[in-house]
Amino acid sequence: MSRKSPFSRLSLRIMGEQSDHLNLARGRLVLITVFFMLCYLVVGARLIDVTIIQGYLSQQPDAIGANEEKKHSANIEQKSKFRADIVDRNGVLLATSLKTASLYADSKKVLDPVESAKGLVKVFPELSYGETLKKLQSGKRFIWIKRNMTPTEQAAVLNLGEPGLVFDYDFHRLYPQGNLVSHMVGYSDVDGNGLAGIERSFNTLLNDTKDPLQLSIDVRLQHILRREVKRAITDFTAIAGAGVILDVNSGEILAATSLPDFDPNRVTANPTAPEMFNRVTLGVYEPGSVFKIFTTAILLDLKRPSFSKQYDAVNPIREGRFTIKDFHPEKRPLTIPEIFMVSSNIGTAHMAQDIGTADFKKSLSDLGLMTKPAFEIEEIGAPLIPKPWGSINTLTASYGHGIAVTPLQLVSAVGTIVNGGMKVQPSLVMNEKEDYKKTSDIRVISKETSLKMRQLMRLVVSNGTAKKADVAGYNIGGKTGTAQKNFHGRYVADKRMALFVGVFPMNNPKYAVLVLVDEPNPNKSSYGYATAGWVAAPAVGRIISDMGSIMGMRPHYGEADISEPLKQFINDVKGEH
Amino acid sequence: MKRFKVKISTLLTFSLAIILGAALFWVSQQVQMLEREQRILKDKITSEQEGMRVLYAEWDYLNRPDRIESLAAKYLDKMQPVLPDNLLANASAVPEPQILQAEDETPVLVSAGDKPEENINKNKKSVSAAPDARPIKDKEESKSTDFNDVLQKATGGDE
Repeated sequence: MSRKSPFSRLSLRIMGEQSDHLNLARGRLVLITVFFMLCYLVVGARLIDVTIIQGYLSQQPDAIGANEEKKHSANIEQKSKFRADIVDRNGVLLATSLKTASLYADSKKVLDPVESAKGLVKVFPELSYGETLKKLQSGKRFIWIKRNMTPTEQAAVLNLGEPGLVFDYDFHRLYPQGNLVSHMVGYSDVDGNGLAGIERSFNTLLNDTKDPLQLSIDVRLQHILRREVKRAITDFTAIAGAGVILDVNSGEILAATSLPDFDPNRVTANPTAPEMFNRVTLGVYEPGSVFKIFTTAILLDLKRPSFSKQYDAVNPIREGRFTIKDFHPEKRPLTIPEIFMVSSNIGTAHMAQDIGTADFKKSLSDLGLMTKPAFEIEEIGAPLIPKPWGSINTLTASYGHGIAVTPLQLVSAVGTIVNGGMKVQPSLVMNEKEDYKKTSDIRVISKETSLKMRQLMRLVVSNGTAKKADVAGYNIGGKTGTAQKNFHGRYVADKRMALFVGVFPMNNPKYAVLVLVDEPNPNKSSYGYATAGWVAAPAVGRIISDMGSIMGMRPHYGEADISEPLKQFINDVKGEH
Repeated sequence: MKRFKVKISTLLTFSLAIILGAALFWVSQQVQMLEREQRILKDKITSEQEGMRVLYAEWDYLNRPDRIESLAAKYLDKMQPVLPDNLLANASAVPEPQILQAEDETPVLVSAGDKPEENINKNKKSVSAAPDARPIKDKEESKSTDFNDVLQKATGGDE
């Protein structure tokens, strides 16, 4: 009590019995006063905060876009979202999303629709005046005028000084490689929905992730392939072409091209136009003599005949209304290497007879030639299989007629034959998981058969129909195929499909290269021929010669030719084409 | 008798509340400032990243294989695409570069580097001129050397 309170002087002492109540009341009063003082202090502080501090900060120069977030969340669905990049195996961009300005009109704010429309048409000549004016007068708060403009165009629009013209930033899909990988990568629409190729099949993934999607394509090989297929098309005035480079061990597609192609940056053609058609995965073609690879491999695997076994190739086979003849008849019994080398239809048909229809069909389906293959893009063609499959179908299918498969299936099956017999599952997307096994463990043919087939395929290039595909030191092997085109069930004599599948190096195969040329016409340099040996084989030779150095594969000169042991089975062969 | 008085602890509590309130206010201001700074930095980063994406796209656009091929054919007339024959087993198999003696007795290393187009043209015009393998930036310096005479002969002859 004796302690001196700082308030003691202020305290008024009221004595008496009511003083306690008064003291209590005063105490409460002080409390309330202090409470309200604090309240006003808080309000004052907040006022200073809101008016002075926040006001000062909002006048500071800010980074772009900081003030305009969520201005119109209503149209967020219309905006094209960021899509993840698509890159090739070396990280080169195949498709990317860039932030660009798009112009929309808030027609309620447009001051002078007529002048603005005139100005806009001047900046974007592709807009029509009438439509633009209509949009500006529509009364809508949001209407697109022009998507994805360049910065120069944006500046020109800003110079119009029309407050009703507003910019929005969204993502524009860009394909820096242009036509190069068009069919495999595909394309997407202005709203960022994939419409073809990888863009379509991985649409959700591309929209949801930020990490780039890596394909197994190598743009350098892709360029070589496309250039050479294009050259073959130009040289032989063909209508179309296709090419594939496949890693026969891992099944990775290193390059795949279909010509004519399109520029995914500006897709104007109808989806059914010829340039939009993916000949590699969607087109099914009769592979012609290339199919003899499979017939021979199946025979060697199932029946294990000796190479010296001879088949009659003198008499054309007649079955029903069909006659199987040879293009360059040898008119004598031929050994298996001879049949394969000169590409005798009669001999191969006899081989298929030896195999039997059931085994032949089963083995073809093991090779993945009878069903639609699984692949990362959705444009996949199902093979055309004769139904019902009679014994005549076995005979014609043995040399690749009456059955049509996609080039992708063909090159994968050839990969299966040469890589030691393990099934090749073609893939376009790189799998980076460490535990991912790159090679398949499904055995289709034996190692021994695979080696024999490599010898035979090498023989075709060293001595047979595909000499023009040879590149010294790379030990290329392969098989040509020239199929007559089938129009409405009738074969047309001078409309052909030239096909060559090359594999190298034959001692330890790494890559398979397929080139297909549709309707080649003979030219002077080919001495009137338009067969695969003249059209597709040289293209594959050039591709391998160029890709060998890119892949760092050193040529091995003077290495034993694996087809050498087969030479003893080759008698005097006159067929030269 | 009781009289109203303020306990020192009450006073301390009040002052503590005021101090804490002020501190809270100060901290919240700081947080707002920092958040703002962070947002600006983030926006800058995003904008830089957008810029980088544009540059990457441009880089890969300019490095399209067909463009490189046509440029190489146009400007690197001595450089040919690598053939399988050019691949060697190891570094020791690389042949020694040949030193040629040019007419003005300047040793010239026969190689093909990045040559500016005009130099190629000059070389073509003046038969006696030694091939200029120097990069573009040396062009200015070369005016003080003997090579200048050759250059001037080449250009002067034209005019």
